Amino acid sequence: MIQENEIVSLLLCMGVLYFILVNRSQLKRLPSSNIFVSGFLIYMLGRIFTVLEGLFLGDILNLLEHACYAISSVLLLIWLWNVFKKNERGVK
Amino acid sequence: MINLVTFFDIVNFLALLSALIVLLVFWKRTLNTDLKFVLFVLLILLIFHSSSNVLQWSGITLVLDPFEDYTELMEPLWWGFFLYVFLRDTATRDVYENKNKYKTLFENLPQKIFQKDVNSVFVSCNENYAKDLNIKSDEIIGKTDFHFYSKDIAEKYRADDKRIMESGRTEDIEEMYIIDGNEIWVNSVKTPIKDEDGKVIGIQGIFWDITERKKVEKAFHKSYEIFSTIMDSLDAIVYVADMETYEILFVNNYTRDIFGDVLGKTCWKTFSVDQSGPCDFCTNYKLVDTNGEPVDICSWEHYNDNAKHWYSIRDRAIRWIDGRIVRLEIAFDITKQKEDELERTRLLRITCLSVVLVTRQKNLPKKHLS
Repeated sequence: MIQENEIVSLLLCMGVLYFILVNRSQLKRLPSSNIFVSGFLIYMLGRIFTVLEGLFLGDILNLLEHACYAISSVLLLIWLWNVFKKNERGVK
Repeated sequence: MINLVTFFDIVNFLALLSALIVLLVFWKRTLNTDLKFVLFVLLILLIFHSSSNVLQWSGITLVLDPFEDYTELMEPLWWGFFLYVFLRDTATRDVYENKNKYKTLFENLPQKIFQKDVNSVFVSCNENYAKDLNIKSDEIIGKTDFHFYSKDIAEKYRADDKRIMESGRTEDIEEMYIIDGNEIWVNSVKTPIKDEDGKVIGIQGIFWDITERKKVEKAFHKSYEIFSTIMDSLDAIVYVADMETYEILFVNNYTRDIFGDVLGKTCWKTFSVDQSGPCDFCTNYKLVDTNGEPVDICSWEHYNDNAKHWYSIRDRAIRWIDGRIVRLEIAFDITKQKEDELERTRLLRITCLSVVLVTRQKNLPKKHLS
């Protein structure tokens, strides 16, 4: 069963994706931007699986959803570690 | 399957918790406060969502469930918000850095720079200009030229400003002033300042002292005048021509009177008739050595078809004011001497002939003829 908030959340993710695509050249200035953006994309993939699990392959897609969230969080951690520990040039 | 999901949820929770710890431990490093705050909120939301999942799969009462729907909606917004804040900060920093660069350039240029509004009231100036006016740069705001210059000069400046703002065109002006009895020359470039719609909203000026340059130019003109006066007083052809292009670089008045204004023309086209190339008798090759350096003077005589006169010529290679080796030719008109010489020769022949005739008539011995 599809829940409304899951659809809205996915739509918001697509909005953020559009924002990323439009400003991709500027976002390259974010330290380790690839890791951060990858983290978001995988998070968004998790959102897609959340919606799809209500339609078919509930268990597998649910597993993939949680896997995506886990990977996304690990990427976020790596990104933060890179930014703070390695003290890369970039934002102040 | 459920175990794997729980495993991922635990990994997710631990990763987010670690990320939050990293953020808090290194709070004072690198990222600015706005970004760190947004990131903090994002992490809290993600941790809330994750812990809700962990508790759910652990079979604990779903205390957090009622809020989970809201956090799910907030998470993508805060991802996007983080990126937006980053871009905003980057843009702000760019503007700040550009402003600093401009300010550094503005302050360190040796030229004097100022800006005025449409009423010729000063809006800003650089330190270099302020120093000249014995003020600090921010003290110029609201002042006019009448505060710093005599009435005549201030009115002239104001008239210039008005003219430039009305025409909308940049003007490059060189002007001289007598200040404290000293001649001061300045070169100023004034440009109208326009807004986005192209409307003139003020004027910008940049100027610098060119007194020394003017002094050098004046000295050069004076020496050139002396040189020209001497050359023009000579009753001889004097010209200078490039040895490669044959372009005439200098002629005196005497030459100009005969051949017209030939400056810049090619010597063999100007001084000779029906020439399709450099003259056969051109002495250029005699004037320089194999290294192209000037050698001795070359003297010769020549009948000029164009002027229809005889000339005694002295050629020499010299170094011109721009450093190149050129040909200097001085040609004295010897037509009269040549004619006298011919006349003398003619008279001599007539005399000889007369003597022969007289001798024959009187049957004088041939030995007298010699």
